[in-house]
Amino acid sequence: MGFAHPGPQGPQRLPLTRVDPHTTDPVSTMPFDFAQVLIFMLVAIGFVLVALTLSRLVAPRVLNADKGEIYECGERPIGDAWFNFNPRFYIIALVFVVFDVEVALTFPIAVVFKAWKEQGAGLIALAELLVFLVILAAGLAYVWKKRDLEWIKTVTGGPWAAANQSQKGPARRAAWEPR
Amino acid sequence: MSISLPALEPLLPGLLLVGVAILLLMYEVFAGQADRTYAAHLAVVGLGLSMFLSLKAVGTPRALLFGTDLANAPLIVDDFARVASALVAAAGLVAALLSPSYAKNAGHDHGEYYGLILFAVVGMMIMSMAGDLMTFFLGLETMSIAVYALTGLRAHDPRSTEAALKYFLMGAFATGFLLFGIALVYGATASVSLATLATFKAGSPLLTLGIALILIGFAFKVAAVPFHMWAPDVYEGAPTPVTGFMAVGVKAAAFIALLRLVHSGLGVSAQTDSTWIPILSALAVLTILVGNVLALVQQNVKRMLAYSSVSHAGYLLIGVVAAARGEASAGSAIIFYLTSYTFMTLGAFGVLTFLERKEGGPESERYGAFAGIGFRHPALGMAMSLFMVALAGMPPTGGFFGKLYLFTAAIRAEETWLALVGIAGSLISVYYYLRVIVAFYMREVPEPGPTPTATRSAQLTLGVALAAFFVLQLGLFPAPLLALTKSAMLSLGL
Amino acid sequence: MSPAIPVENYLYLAIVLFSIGAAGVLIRRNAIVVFMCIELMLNAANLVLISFARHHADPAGHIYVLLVMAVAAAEVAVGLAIMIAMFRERKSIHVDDLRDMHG
Repeated sequence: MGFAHPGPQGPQRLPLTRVDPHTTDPVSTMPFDFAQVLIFMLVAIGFVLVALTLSRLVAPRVLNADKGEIYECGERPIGDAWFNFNPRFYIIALVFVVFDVEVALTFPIAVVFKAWKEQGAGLIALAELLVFLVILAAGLAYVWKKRDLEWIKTVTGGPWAAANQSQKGPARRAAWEPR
Repeated sequence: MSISLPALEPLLPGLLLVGVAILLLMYEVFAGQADRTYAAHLAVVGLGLSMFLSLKAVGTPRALLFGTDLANAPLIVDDFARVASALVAAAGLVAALLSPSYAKNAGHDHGEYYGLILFAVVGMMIMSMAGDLMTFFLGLETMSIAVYALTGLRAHDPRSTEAALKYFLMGAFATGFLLFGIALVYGATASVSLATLATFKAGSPLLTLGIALILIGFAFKVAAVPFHMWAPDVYEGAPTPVTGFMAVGVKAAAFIALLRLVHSGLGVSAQTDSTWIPILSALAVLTILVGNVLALVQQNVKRMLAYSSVSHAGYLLIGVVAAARGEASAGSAIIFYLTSYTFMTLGAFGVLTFLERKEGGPESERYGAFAGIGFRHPALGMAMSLFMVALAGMPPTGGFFGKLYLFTAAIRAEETWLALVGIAGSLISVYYYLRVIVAFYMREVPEPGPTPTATRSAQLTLGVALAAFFVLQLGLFPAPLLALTKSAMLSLGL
Repeated sequence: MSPAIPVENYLYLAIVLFSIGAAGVLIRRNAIVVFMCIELMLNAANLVLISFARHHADPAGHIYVLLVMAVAAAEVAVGLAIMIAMFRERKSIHVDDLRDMHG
């Protein structure tokens, strides 16, 4: 935050921009670069069209019940394709998503760390990173202790566990089961 | 650019709350006790301390954090931010006091509850300090995400989960508009800073569209008509103390951020594009009329309060229009109104919490359920009458002065017709507020009659008493708060 | 990203994405799909931020995108949790089933 306006507007390049060494003027050569992609696309579409037309013309047509089935690698399909995934997946997913994406925030520090270190501010950068990681770790400890990392959640308290005390073994129930 | 450890001392009120919140979370999971009243006490102490620290610092010079001037500092701790922080901390404090017995009755007595309230308050504080739109966005999301979770805490009540999902989807939708608006403003000005935004002149369609989208996002957050559809359902379904917290805290934080945006970013000198001011006026009129008329026809008191809170957002929008017209007193009127509104609304929801039945449900929220309460529980009846009178804007309460200052500011800004609409709305509102008092005192007491006070507790009593005290205090001696709000607005450069 | 593509094109693409997302929120009835549409809106904003960050040669814009992504992830977590709670209660996450309260 706090970067001055660069001046007159217009396309400006960051220093990191890669310029193709074979061309000097990217603007005039761009249509030709795109022409390659266009030809590739046309060939691909043409290939599909030719293959489909050929098979329609040449292939024998024998219709039976097996052929009308949904193709599932040769197996007979079981059940409907539209079903609810086990909600346990969502719990795992939401824990994963948070930690996965929050880690993305640490990458910028990795990029500038060396420059900061040379300016004598390495410790501050490290401390900031550590504060962030400690907070994330606290979250992980919380989830772990709450047993949401287990596929089958072991319930130690509450009425559910009490009802199961008479039976042998600890009360176990899936994390997704309605209480 | 030299990098050094910034002086974090001005952020102490917020950092303190973060510390208490993490402590609560960790204590809950590693050494949890069955009774979470301790968590409420800890949260109340933390919020009280944070409020004290904020108010103590009022009058000291402005502090810029992580930057050197207004154009690059993401956090600006000035008197405006300090007064606002104290206000939202007070809202959290009263809400935390209302909660323990209700949570026990409703079966959501988690220690995390108070942690979430603290995180939400921290988000509101960041919103009030934000010197650029991105920081404002981060504060808004910190607050919103915590409040989404709070709304759905009664996980075994279909009304609560429904409210949470509705609030979440509509809130995230609003976030989308807000963020896209911020991105467009960034595109137009090459910065998200409010001070830089103020230097840009009208004319760029990118900038106009960006500001429009940001204002739509705000309208969603404060439940201004026609972006109010979610509010009644969410307010009805959420746990009652959370409804109170949401009605006052979210609204206060959003209006305070809007005030800073209008003053520091959009340039009240009309240097920037001001076509949005008439649109805001139209929103205010619609919000007041629709909110009040729909509140009239409700049979459920909690829902009536939800619509009434929509109409209060309309009155506050009048203040924002006046502020945008350059009227210096409008800002302090808004802060005064928000403060008195905080206490009277939390008080009203506190009384509703008191009257929650053991089994909960919408039945205990109908007008009919309150027949004769005024005689059976005289103190409760008096308190509710006070809050209703205050919400209707009658003396001798803080609500009266709040409306007086707000409408005076509108008239000074030559928006007399807006003030007239506001007064008309207030007159309509008298009917449905008095209807509650009528239910309390003038309906026959059903015999033998249930005693609907499953949630009585010392904390709840203290919360309602505090709210009642401040509503009266602001009505009888408004000068100290007015001085505070004036110094807050002075720190914005007015 | 070739420097020859003007920033307006990214802006138009982002506006199209944003509109698709907003329309999806209003049209779709499955809460998870609605939420995916909202994510599309957020990512449209990210696209604007990142393309203008380059256009203005301002690295701050890149950081904003990371911040937005982190915030969106936190939002996903809470949103999914709310949807699980809803599914446990009603065995459905269709927004049309959200009609216990009205008026």
